[in-house]
Amino acid sequence: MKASEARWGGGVTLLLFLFIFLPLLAVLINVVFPGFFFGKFEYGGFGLVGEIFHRPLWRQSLWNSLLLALGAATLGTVIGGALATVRARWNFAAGRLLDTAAWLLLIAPSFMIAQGWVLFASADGLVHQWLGWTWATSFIFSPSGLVFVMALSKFPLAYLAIVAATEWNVRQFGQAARLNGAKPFSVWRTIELPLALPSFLAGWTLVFMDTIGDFGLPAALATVYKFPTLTYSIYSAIYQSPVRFDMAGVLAFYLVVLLALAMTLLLFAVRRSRFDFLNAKAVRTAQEKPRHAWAYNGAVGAFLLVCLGVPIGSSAAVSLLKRTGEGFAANNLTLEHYRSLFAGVAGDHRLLGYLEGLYHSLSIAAVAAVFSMLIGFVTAYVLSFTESRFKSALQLFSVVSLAVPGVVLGIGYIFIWNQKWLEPIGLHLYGTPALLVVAGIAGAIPYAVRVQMGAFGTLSGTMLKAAAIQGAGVFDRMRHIVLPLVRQSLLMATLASFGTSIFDLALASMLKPANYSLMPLVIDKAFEFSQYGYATAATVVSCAIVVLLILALQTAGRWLFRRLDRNRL
Amino acid sequence: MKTKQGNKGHLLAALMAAVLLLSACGAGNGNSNAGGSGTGAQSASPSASPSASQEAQGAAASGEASEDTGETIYLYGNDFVDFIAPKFAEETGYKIEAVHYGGGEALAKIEAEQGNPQWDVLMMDGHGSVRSLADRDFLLTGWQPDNLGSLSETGASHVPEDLAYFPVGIHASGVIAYNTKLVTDDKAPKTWDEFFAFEGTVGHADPAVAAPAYPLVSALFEKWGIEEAERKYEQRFKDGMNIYPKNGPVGNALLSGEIQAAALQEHNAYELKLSGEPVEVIWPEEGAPGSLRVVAISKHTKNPAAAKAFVEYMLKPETQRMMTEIESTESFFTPLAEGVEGRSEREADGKFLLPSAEWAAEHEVEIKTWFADQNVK
Repeated sequence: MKASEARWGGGVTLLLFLFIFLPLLAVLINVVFPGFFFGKFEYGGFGLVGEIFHRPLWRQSLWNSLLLALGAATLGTVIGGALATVRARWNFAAGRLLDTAAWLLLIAPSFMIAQGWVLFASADGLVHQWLGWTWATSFIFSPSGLVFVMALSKFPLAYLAIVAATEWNVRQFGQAARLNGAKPFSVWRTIELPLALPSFLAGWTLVFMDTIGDFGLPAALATVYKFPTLTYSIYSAIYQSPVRFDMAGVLAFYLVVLLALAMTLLLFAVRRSRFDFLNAKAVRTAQEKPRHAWAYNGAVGAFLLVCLGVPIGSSAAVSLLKRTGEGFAANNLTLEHYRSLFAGVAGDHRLLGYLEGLYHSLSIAAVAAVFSMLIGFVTAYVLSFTESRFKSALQLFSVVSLAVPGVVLGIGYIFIWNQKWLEPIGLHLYGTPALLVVAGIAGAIPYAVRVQMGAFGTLSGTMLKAAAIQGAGVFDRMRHIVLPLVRQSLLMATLASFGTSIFDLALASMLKPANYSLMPLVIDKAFEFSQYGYATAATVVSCAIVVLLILALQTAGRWLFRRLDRNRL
Repeated sequence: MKTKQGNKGHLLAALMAAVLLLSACGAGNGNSNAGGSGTGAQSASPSASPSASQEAQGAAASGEASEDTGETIYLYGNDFVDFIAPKFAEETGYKIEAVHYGGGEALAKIEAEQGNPQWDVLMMDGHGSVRSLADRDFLLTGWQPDNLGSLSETGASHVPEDLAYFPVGIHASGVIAYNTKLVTDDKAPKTWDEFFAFEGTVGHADPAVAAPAYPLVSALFEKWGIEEAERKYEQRFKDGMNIYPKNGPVGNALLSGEIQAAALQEHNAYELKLSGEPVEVIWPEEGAPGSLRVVAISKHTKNPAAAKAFVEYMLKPETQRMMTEIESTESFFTPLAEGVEGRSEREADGKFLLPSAEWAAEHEVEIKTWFADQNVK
C-alpha cells in the first residue's frame, strides 16, 4: 500500500516539478546567474533584489498590486459570500442565472472584462457619448474603481468555492442548536459560519491570488490609464530593449513571495478550523422557496446587469456599430465585423485569422483541461489522504503552482525548452504548439488543485481507511469512494480549467509559435490597434462558443452521474 | 501493485504521446523550425569568435546555397514584413516566413532566444537598439552586400563600419499633430520648444513599448542634452502630458480631445489627416526625430545564403520603390536607395533629427529607465 502510494505521489510530483517548479527555478536562477541559460556562467549577486525599493516604477507596481489584490479579494468575497449564502438556501428564478453568470465571468478572462469596461467608461466610451456621465470615467479609472471592476469580475471564484461547500446538508447540527433554543442568527454565527469559514477563506485567497497574478486588466487598461502592477512590470521588463530578464526574475520573485504568503495563511486557517463534518449522515441540500422571491430576483438581476451587462454589453454594442461614436441609429448598425471574422483576413497583421485561432485555442485548452484535471485529482488525493514521502515536496510544488502567473511561466519555458541539446532528442518544444499544451496544463493545474482541495477538505478519511483495511488499493479507493463524492467539483474544475486556459493571454503571447494564431491574441491584437469592431465581435463569438460548450458538458456530466447512481442502486 | 503502476504508466504515456503528437502536428504545419543538421560550426556562446566558415563566406560572393540547410528562413520585424516576404520568395525562390512583431517584442524574442536563435533576418526601425545587439555579438558582421553601392549618399552615411546592419529607409518617429477642433492654427506649436511649452495637454508613445518612441525621445535628449531634456520633460509632465503605449492610442486620444497636440509617428499622423479627421500635421523646421529602419542578419543563421539574398533584395532600388507605392500608410518613409522618391503627400524634404547609433545605444537603458520612473510619479 505504501509503495503504490509512493509511486502515485512520485509521479505527480515529477510532473509538477517539470511543468511548474523547473520554469520558476529557471527564472530565479537567472536572477543570480544572468546568462546561465544562454551558455554563459557568471555570478550576478543579490544586489537586484533590493532594487525594487529604489526604483519608483517598481515600488509603485508592488504597491498597486497589493492594493488591488487586497481590495478585490475582500470585496469579491463579500459579494461572493452573500450571493452563495442566498443561493444555497433559497430556490428562486434568478439563481440559475447567477450560476451561469458566475461561470461566464470565470471563463471570461480579465482582459476581456477590462476591455469591456474601457469601451464603456473611457473618455470616448459609450457612457460618455450616450449618457454624458463624466463621473463614471473618473471613478472607474482610479485605484478604487479598479478594485470595484476587479471584484466584479473575480467574485465567482469566491462564490463557487463557497457554493461547492454547501452541496452537502449538515443541518442536523443547526437543528440541534435550534432545539436547544438558539436564535437563527446565533445558529448562523456559531455553527454555520465556522463550518463555512474554510470555504470563505479559500474564496478570499483564490480571489487574492488570481488578482495579484492577473495580467489582463493592466494590459487592457494600458491604452487609457497608467496603473502599473507587478505582472505588468514583469511584462514590460521583458518587452523593453535592452530586455531585463534579470529584473523580471526579481519582480517575479516578489510576486511568488506574496502568493506564497497568502497560501500559507490559507493552509494555516484551514488547518485551524478543520471539521470533518461531512460524514455518512450528510444528505444533499434541498432548497426552499423564499417568500419574497421577486426581491431576490430583482436584486440579483440588477447586480448581474452591472457586473456582466456593462462589460459584455459594451463589447456587444460596439461589435454591432459601424462607428462607435455615433450610437444606436439604424444606419449605424452593421454585421460587417462578424462577417469579417469568418471571412478570413489575409496580410493584415492587426487582424489575425479568427477561425484558425479559435480552432487552435479550443484544441489546446481541451487537452490541457483533461490532463490538468487528472494531475490535480491525484495531487489533491495524495495531499489529503496519504502519508507519501513526497507529500512535503508535492505540498511545496502545489503551493508554488498557485503562485506562478502566466507571465513568469512563459519566460521560464523559453529558458528551458529552447536549449540546443534538446533538438536531437526531439524535445525542442519552443516554437511548437506542444509547448502551449504543456504550458496550458501548467496554467490549469492551480485551478484543478485548488477546487479539488476544497472539495477534499470536507471529506473524512475514515471511509478510505475502512476501504484500505478491506484491501482496496489506491486506485480503487480513488475510483469508488473519492470520485463519486467529489465528481461534481471535479467536473467543475475541468470545465474551469478549460475555460481559463482557452483565454490565457500571457502564455499565448509569450510562447506562440511564429505566425500561429490563437484566439486571445486575435482579440488583443485587434484591440491594441483600435480595431474595436473586430475585437469585440471576436469576444462575443468566443464567449458564446465557450459558454455553450461548457453548459453542454455540464449537462452531459449531470446526466451521466444520474445514470451511474441509478445503476448502483 | 503491478496494476497500480500500470495505471500511472498509462497516464504518463498518454501525456507524452499527446505532447509528441502535437509537436508532430506542429512540424507538419512547418511551424517547427528545429533543424536537425545545422552547420555545426557555430558555437552556442555569443562571445565566441566568428567561425572560420563564416569568415570564408564573408570574403566570397553571396548565393552559395550549398552552405544552407534549405529550410525556411525566419524574418522578424515590424512594418512591411508581411508584405515583403512573399515578394522576396517569389523573386528568389528562397523559402521565408515573416513574423510581425512590435519593436519591443521583436527585441525581446531575440533576447529570449539567444541560447538558440530561431530567427535569420531582422528588419525594424530603431538603429540604436540594433546597434546594441551588434555590440553584444548577436549579428553577422563584416560581410559586404553587392548592392551596397545602390544606396543614396544619406543611406551610405548610416552604414556602420562593422557592417552589422544596413539602412533601408527613414521616417519621422514624431511629427507635431494637433486637433484642429481644439487648437487654432496660430496657437499650434510649430517647434519642439513650443511643443514643450504648449498650454494644453500633449502626449506621445511610450519609449519602453513602441519601436519608434525611443528614437523620438532619444533625438530630443540628444538635441537638448540629457540634463536639459530631463528638466523639460519634468516640466511637461507637470503641465499635462499623457504617455500611451503605442502610436495608435495616441492618435485616438488626439481625436477624443484627451490631448490637444501630440508628437505622433508620421504614418499615424498622415493616416488621420488623409482619412478626413480634424488633424493637422506640422513637420518642424528644425527637423522631426527620425527612425532609421535597418536590416540585419543573425550571427547564428543556418541559412546564410538566403539571409544575405534578403539583404541584397532590400537594398535594391526596385524593392524600395515598390515599398513607397503600397496602399498602407507604412509607405510614408524616405527610401535610402539612390533615385527612389518618397510619397508626394509627405513633407517633400523634411529634415530629420537622428542621434548617432552609438549615442542611442549607449544611453538607451538610462533614458528608458528615467522615463519609466517619471511616468509613474
